[in-house]
Amino acid sequence: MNSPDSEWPPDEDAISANQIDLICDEFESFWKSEGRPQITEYLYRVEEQSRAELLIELVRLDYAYRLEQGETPSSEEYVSLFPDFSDVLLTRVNEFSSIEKDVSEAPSRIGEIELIEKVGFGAFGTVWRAWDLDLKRQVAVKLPSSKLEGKQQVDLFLHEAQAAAKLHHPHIVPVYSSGQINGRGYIVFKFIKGQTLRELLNKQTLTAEQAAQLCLALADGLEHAHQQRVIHRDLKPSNILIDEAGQPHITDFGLAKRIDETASLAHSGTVLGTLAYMSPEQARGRSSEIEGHSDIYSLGAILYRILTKQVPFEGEAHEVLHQILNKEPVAPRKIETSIPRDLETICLKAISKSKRDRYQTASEMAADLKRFLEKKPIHSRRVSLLGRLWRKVIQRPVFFGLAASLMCLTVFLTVKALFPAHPPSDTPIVTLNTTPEGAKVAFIPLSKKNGEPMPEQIIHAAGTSPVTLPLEPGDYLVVAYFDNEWFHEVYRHVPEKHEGIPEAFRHQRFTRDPVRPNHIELPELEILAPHEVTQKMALIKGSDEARFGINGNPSLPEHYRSIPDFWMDPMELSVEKYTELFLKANSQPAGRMGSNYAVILNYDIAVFLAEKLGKRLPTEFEWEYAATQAGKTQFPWGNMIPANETIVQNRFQPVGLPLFDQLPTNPPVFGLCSNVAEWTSSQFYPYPVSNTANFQETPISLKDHRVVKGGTDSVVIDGNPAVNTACRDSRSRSSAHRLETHLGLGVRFVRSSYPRLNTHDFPTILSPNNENNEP
Amino acid sequence: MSEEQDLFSVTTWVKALKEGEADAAQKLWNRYFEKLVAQAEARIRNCPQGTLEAEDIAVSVFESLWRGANEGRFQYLQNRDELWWLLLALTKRKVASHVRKETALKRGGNSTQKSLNNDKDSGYTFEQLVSEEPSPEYLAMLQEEYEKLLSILRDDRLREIAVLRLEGYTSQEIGKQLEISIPTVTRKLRLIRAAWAKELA
Repeated sequence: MNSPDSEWPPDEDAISANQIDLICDEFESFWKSEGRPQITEYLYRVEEQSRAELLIELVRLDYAYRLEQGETPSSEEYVSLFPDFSDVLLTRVNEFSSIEKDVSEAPSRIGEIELIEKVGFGAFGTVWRAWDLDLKRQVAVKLPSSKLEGKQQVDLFLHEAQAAAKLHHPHIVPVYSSGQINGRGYIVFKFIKGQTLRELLNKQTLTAEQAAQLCLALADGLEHAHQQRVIHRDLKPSNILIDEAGQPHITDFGLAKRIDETASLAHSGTVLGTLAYMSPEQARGRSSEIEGHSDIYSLGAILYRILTKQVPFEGEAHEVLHQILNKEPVAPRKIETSIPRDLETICLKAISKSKRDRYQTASEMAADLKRFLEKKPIHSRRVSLLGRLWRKVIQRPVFFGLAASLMCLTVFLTVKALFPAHPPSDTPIVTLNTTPEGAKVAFIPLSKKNGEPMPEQIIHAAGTSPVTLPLEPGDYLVVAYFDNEWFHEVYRHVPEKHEGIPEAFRHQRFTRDPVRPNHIELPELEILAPHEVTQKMALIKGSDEARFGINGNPSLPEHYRSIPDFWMDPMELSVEKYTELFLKANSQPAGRMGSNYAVILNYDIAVFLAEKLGKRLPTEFEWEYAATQAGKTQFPWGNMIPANETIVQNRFQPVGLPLFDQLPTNPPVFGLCSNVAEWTSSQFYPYPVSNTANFQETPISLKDHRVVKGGTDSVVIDGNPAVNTACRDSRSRSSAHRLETHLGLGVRFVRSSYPRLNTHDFPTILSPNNENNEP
Repeated sequence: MSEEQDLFSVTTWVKALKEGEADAAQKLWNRYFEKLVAQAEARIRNCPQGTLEAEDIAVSVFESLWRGANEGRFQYLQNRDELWWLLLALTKRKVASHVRKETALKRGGNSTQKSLNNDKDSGYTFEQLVSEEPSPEYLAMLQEEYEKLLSILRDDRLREIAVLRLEGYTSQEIGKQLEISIPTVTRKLRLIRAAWAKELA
């Protein structure tokens, strides 16, 4: 039956796909008739370029048939059998495990219940729309994944289901029945016609009142469950169904406990969604501590998500876990100023790190939400600034360091009283070496106010490297140089006395002498030969007077600066280059389709990699200067978006593209305003313009943010690759937290054309030309 | 599943719709399908009794429609409808080119070829495909396209899968019915989609 029809017209492109299909048919019929075929006997029947594709198909089939035989195949087995194809196989791991679901989870009928279609799946298994033939009603059936097999597991699962069956509340999805079939548990729920809260939130924005209404209903539901001693444990938008009248219904009560035990973090994707709403005690894995408070935290996180359109903490699984435990969320009103203050207070109280600080019962939270809706004063109080500071202190391991150093201080004061003649200096004595040795080294302090280098306070170390000198604690731009071309500029951190635990990267790390604690050794810096660094870079000629800012916009006022010459990378840092720099096969860089796409990374990794390459990050002014052709145009290519590019790009381009976005340099610089947005080294603070009273001070909340250029938030956060005036203006600036990675945020590096040692080597503000500026 | 990543999936189409339009799209789709099914039923009523019970591949697009609708498989706008999508888009194009030829003839054969490919995926927006009343001429062409699309497939197995899919069956159900594994259904659907999409290109 499967031989091609004679009249079937073969087509050049289709030949390979059809060839693969026919080989797979043969492989499958062998499985069905004779038993186990050998993949290798089939794989080499096609040309080399089609082999990876064929292998994937054969593995899919093999996997499915082995599952059917009751085996438990794993992706790793295939990787070890076909090491040459490990990369293609590894990218399919999740897909292969979904075969497992497809194959093993398709009973068409459970007793008198007919499964009609799969309407969802999650970490625990699948949900089906089904028809109860006995009671003639539509129902939903939940089948846990086959990972939950085994009598003990099934018993636990059913025990939970029975607990959930006790709940009868208008905002909880009722459990009709539960049981087991073929050694697997199942639960039958009421079928709620509608959508999940997650789907709803992806489509529309709720008002503050709607958010409060919704959370009030959910809090009522939780209160009922908690009174029955049922804890949800995994409350999140995808577990909340919104019916056609807009009423919420909580589902999956108590099931999450099973997931904690069976799903690993490596199985991200599905579990990741859960993490965002997980309480600190759950993140710590202390299942004994999980009680009603944990659900209250999750409800608070849901409120946060509705109000701000983002979850309290985002990022890779380990980052999120870290933040849940250690970081205070950004206050909702900082994200969206229109959020009512009281609602923000309710939200932040619910997501307090400590259980004691949260609402003690769901009804307390419901009561406050109700007061908010009735426009009465709420009962919970905002945490004072002092309270917040204290929380920060106790969250950090530094606390112990601080306590220890307080003790030292006491001892020290005693000593000082006894030996007043020998005042030991507190100032750190810093040692720094370079490869090769013998370079001159200068330290330029970075302003504690705004992170900008302060060349007027430059400290030249005596002699050549290794150098040792007293330095005040703080961050420095370190310039190490042999001559005007052979040099490097890096960042180093000199710790405060009590700072005990250094961060990971060179620009933050230090070693403290165990005997003389004020003796600090900073990580060595390597000075690469200049031609190695600049050979593929483009020289951007500076200017004595370049325009910055947008005329008429008070937050981005127009002003002029001098810009020295600098070198710029013609393209963003690629996934390929990134992997090469890490020299580690197991570090999986985030990027798009392939190795020649821009890598997505956080600020500190970017700084670290720049240093390895003998380069640095551009300041926002250098970046804007390049992208505006020395302040003359709106985009790198001129003032207009090319007509055929106004169409939305489907995806970001590989680095070194697109052709229309290039600077007339040699080599051309590509993609400044059309590919991913890019990090700059500038702290995010109000644009510095002379004579402005509050000028140049970065608010504390923005200290860890850096200016991002080449795309607005839509590019940075949503990874929207569109090229249009609204989101690609080279003059506009966005920001991102240094530890965050975003879908549309990469980096390209620059290098100074000579070591920067004087004020005029940095972009310098020029006083306005005409003197009729406003008071 | 890889199916969902393909360009020609309904999911992509639906995603391309503006926010809030997804519900509207579902309603349009349902209404349009009801009309098609009503037409299909009218035609089938004229057929001799008993022919529809036959187990062989449905020879008429109206049978596919009728069976699918009768067994309640067309309720949700989703990925499995994507073959319908291609079929509707191809029919639409055929009707349009037919109309163009007619008018061109009336104007004395001076045809200006206007490209319909303004939407990069298919040539048609969702609304364009499902908003109009299916005319008798359209239905005739739908049947012609159906036959043609089935004929360009490589073998009967692919045709069976295409028809079952058009009748609204899931990959699992198709796999079970034809006693082949799900990866095979997926693989073959991909071939079908590629072949049909090429017709549209």
